[in-house]
Amino acid sequence: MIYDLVIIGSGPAGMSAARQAAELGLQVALIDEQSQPGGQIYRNVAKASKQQLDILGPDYCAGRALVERLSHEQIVHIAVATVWKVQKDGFVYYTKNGKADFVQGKHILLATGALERACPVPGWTRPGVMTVGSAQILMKAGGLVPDNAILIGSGPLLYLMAVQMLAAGCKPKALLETQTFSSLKSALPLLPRSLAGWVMLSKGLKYLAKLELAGIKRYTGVEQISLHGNENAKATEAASRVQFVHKGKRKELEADLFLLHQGVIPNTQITRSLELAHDWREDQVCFAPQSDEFGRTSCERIHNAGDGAGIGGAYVAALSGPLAALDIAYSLGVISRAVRDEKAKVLLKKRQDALAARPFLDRLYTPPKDWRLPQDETIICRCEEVTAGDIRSYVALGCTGPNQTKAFGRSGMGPCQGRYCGLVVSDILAHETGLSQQEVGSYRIRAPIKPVSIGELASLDR
Amino acid sequence: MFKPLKKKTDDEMVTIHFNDQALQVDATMSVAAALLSHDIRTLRQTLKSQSPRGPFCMMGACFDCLVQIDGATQQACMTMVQEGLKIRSMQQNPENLQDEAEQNASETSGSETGGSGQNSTGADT
Repeated sequence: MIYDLVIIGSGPAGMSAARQAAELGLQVALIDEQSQPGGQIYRNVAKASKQQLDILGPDYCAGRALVERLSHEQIVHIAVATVWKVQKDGFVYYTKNGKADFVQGKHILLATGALERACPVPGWTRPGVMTVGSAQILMKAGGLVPDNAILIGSGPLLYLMAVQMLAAGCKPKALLETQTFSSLKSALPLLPRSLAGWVMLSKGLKYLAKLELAGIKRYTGVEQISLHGNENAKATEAASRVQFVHKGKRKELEADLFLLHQGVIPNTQITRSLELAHDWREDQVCFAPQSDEFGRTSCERIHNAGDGAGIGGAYVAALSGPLAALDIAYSLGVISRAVRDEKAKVLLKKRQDALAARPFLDRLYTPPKDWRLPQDETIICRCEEVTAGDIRSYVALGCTGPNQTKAFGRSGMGPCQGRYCGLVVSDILAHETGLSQQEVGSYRIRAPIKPVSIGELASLDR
Repeated sequence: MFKPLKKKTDDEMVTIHFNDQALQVDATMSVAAALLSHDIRTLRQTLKSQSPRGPFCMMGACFDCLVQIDGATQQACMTMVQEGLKIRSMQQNPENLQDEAEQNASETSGSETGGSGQNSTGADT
C-alpha cells in the first residue's frame, strides 16, 4: 500500500506529527530504530518504572502523553527498523529482523532529531569516556546510573544529568564546565524578557542550587581538557584520569567514568543523502537543512521537523511535528489552505514563544574554540583515527573540501559515516582556508546511511 | 562505573556469553548496557592502531560498540540481550584476524572485519 505519509523517527516531532496527520484522515507509517516510541529524549518512557520517572523528572514524563496518542487506527508503527535509504520519490528502505523492506509514501516527514556534538579532546576515544546523553539513555532504557563519574563540557543537559544522578543516589564526582564568565556576559543581553525566559532561568537556577546543596564541586571556565588511562597497566587503557587547566592551574582528577557533552546538532544524515539545501547556522554552530515555518525543505515531497531542522528542544519539536502534518495534509489536498493556517496559528505562536529563550542558550553554551578546532594530535574521526593535524596537513597539500579529505586519509569513511567528525572537519577546513563553513560545505552522504548486509539486500527481491 | 537502579530478580535475568565468560544480565537491556553493568567497557580494538574502544553514544550513531553476535557484526547498543546470546569482542590482532575474516566474509558487509584493514560502508568520496 502507498501511505499518505511516511514519518522517519518517533521522537516528539514524529509522534506529534503522526497523531495530527491521522486525525486529519491520513494513512501514516511511523518508522523508528527503537522498540519503543519516544526518540532519545523520551526513550523507553512508556515502559519506565515509577522509580525511573521520579528520578528523570516531569520533563521526561511529559513524553508519555505523546506515546499514548500514537494509538490510532490510521497510524502503523514500524519499530526496530533501521532506515538506510530514503528516495525523493517517496520510497523508504529499511532493515527489520535481518530483512530489508520498504514503504512508500506520497509524502515523507523526516523527524530524525539530533546527535550530540563531537567532543574531540585528547583521549575521548578511550573506553570509559562516553557522552552525557549516552549515560542518560542508560538511565532511561537500561536502569543504570553512572557511578563515580565526572561530567565535562557545557549545556543544560550537564546540569539536568547531574540532578538526575543525585536523585538516583549517585552523586557526580565533579562538573568540569567549559563556559566562562565572558560567555555569560555576552549571552545575558539575549535573555528574553518573557515568561519563557523566566521559566528557563528559574529551572536552571534550581538545578544549580541542588548541585550546590549536595556539595558537588563545579569547575567553570575549564580549558585544555584531556583524558588519560593508567599508562603503566597496558591491559586497562580505559580512561581513569582527566587533566585540565582551571584558573591558570593544571589539575588532575580520577574517576571511573567521564561523560562529555557540548550540546546537540541536527542529524542531517538523511537530508544530506537526499542532497537537500543546507545552511550554516552561525548561531547554533552547525549545518541545518533549509526549511520554512511548516518544515518544507528544498524537495517538494519532503518535510523536516524537530531538532533535525535546527535545535529547539523537545517542546518545540512537538509543535513543529503537527505544523508539518498540517502542511502535508494541505499539499495532499485533504485540507484547505485556510484550514491549515487557522489550525497553525496557535502552534506557531507557542513555538515562537518557546524559541525566544534559544538565542540565550545558544550563546551561553556555544562550543569553545579548542573543541571546534582541536590541537593537532587529537583524533577527530573516531572510526578511521584521523587527527586534526592530519586534516591540516591535507590542506597544506591542496585539499579544499570535506569530500577530498576522504581521499587524502579516509576521514568520515568509517561505519559512522562522518556523523561525529563531519562538523569538525568543516570547521577546521574553514579555519585553515579562510573560507566560510557554507563555502567549505560538508561531507557528501550516500545511501546506505546505515550498514546493510548483502543478505539483507537480497531479501528485498520479491 | 554503573549501578543498577533496582536489583532484578533471577527470573528477570538471562545468561549471555562474552568471549566465553558467562554473565547474568537484566533481560530488558541492550548488549552494551548489559556489558557495562558488569564493568566491561572495552568491546573491540581498532583496525589501524589496535586501540581499545567501547560504547560511546548508546544510540546507534558512533559504531564504536561493534561486536560479533552469533557470528555477525552488530552494534551492541542496538541489540537486545537474549538467553544464550554469544558475543565476541572484535580483536584485530593479526592472528585473530585470519579466522574472523573467514568466519564473516560471507555474512556481513559494512563491517570492520575485512582482512585488508579497510572497511567499506557505502560512504565514498
